[in-house]
Amino acid sequence: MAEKATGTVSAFWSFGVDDEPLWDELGEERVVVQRCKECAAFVHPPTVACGNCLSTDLALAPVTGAGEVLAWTRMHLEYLEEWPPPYVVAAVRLDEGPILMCTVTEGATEVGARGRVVPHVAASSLAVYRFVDAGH
Amino acid sequence: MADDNIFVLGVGNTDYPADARETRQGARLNPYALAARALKRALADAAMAKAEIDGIVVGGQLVYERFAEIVGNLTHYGGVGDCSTVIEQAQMAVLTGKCKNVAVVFALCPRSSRMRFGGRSAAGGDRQLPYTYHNRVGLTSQGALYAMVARRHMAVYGTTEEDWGVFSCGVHNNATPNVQAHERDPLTVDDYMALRYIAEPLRRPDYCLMNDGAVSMIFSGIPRGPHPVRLGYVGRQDDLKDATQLRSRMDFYHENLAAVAESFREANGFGVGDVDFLEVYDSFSVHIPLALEGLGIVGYGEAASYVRDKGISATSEFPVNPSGGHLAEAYMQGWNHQVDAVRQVRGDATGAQVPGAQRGVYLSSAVGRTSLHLYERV
Repeated sequence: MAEKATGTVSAFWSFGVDDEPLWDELGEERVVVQRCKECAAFVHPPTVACGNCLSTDLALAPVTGAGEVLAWTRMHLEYLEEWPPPYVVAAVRLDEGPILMCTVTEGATEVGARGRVVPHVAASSLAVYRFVDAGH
Repeated sequence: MADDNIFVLGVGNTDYPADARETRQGARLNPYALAARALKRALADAAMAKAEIDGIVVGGQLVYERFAEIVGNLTHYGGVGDCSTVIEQAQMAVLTGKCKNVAVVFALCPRSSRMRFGGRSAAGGDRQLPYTYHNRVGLTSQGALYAMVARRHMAVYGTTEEDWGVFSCGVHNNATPNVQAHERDPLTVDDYMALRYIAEPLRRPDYCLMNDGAVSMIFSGIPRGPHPVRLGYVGRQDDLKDATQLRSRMDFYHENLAAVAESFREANGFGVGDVDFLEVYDSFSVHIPLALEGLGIVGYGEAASYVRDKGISATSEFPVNPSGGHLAEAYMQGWNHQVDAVRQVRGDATGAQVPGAQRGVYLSSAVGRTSLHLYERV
C-alpha cells in the first residue's frame, strides 16, 4: 500500500484510526465488520461509538459475507487514476444487516443477486470488500 | 399557524447566464461581490433600505463575519447554513424577537474556485460526510450514489432508462422560457438517450449544472412592501442513521418523506398535493420521482407513468421545478428554487409562470435530511 504510513492511511482513502484496522483486516483476507461489544449491534463504517447504545467498546468481528445486491452502478468517467473506467460498484446488504460498498467480480451483477462478500486487494493495492455473484 | 408566520419581502439573484459568460471568458468571480449584488437586488425588490437589516445569515462560500463586515450593519443575529437551515434561522430570529428583518445571502463560485464535486479533490472529501466515504471503491461523487438509487428504483419499480430521460427532459424543458436559465435548449428523450453515461444509468442531463452565482432573500415578521409572500410552514425530518451505508437512500427516503408530508398536512389542513406547484432540490433527476412518490403525490413507482402522461410543466396538473431547477436554471443549492417559489406566488416568475399560483412547496431531501417549506400568497 503505497499510501500507507505507520498508524495512518492517506485521509483520502480512509478515515484514519476509525477504519484503518478494517482495511488491515481485509488485507489479511478476513471479512469483518465493526460490532458493539456491549449490545452486538453492527457499526459501519467503523467509528468510535455504537449508534444503538453509545458504547465506545467496539471491535471488528467476522461476518459470513453472505448477502444480496441492493444496487449497482458502472462508472464511465475517470475520477481517480487508481480507478480507470469502466468499473462496477455494488451496494450489498449482508444477511447480518450492514450494507457494504463492494467491487464486483466479472464486472457485472444485478439487483437482487445473491452471493458472498470477500476480501480483495484492488489493482490500486487498496484492500476493499468484493462481491462474488453466485450467478456469475 | 398564523402566529408562526414570517414573510419574504424581497428576493434577488445575480444574472446566472451573464456570470457564466464571464467565467467562460476566464474571469474569476468573487463570491462576496456576487453576494452584495444579490442582496442589493433583494433590498430593492423589498423596497427596503439596507439599514433596516438587523440579521444576516449566509451560505455557500460566504463567512458570516466577513460578509457582515462588508455590509456594515449592526446585527442582532448572524449565522451560516444551507438553504434550509438559513431559513430556519431567519424564522427563529424573527419569531423570538431577536431581529426585525433578516437577509439570507448565498454565494457559490465553483467555476471561479475550480471546485470539484468528484475525484481526488472533491468538495467535502476531507470531512467524514456520508457521501465522501466511498473513495476506496472509486465512488467520489454524489452522482455515483444517486446512480445506485436510480438502479434500485428500476429494479424495484420497473422504471426504465428512458424514464430518467422523461424526468430530466421535463425539468430541462421547463427552463426554455426562463431568461435567467443556463440551459434553455429543448431536450428530447431521444437526445437524452444518445448521450453517454456518467454513472450508469445516469447521463449528463440527470446531473445538476455547475455555475457561479448568488441569491438573497429578505425575511420579516411584517408583511410590508410591494409584494410580501408568507412563509407558511417550515418542516424538517432527518434520518441520518446508517446514512453512509445508503440505508435511507436504498429505501428512496420513504420514511422521511412520508413523515414530513404528514406533518405538513397536520399543520396546514391540506396536503402537499393540494398546492399549486412543487420545487424539488434536484441535484439529480432522481429527486423528481423520489419527491412525487415519497410525498404521496403519486403512489410508489408511479412517477414515471404519471410524468409521461401529465408532464411537469408550469401549465401541467402539478408543475415541478417550473424554472428549470438545478438541472437547467442554475445550481444555487436550493436557493434558486425558493426564489422561484416566491416569484411564482407573486405572479412574476422569470420563466414559465404557473397560472394563478397561490401557494407552492419547496422540498429538499438529500443524504438523510429533509426540509419542506410552504410559500403562500398573502
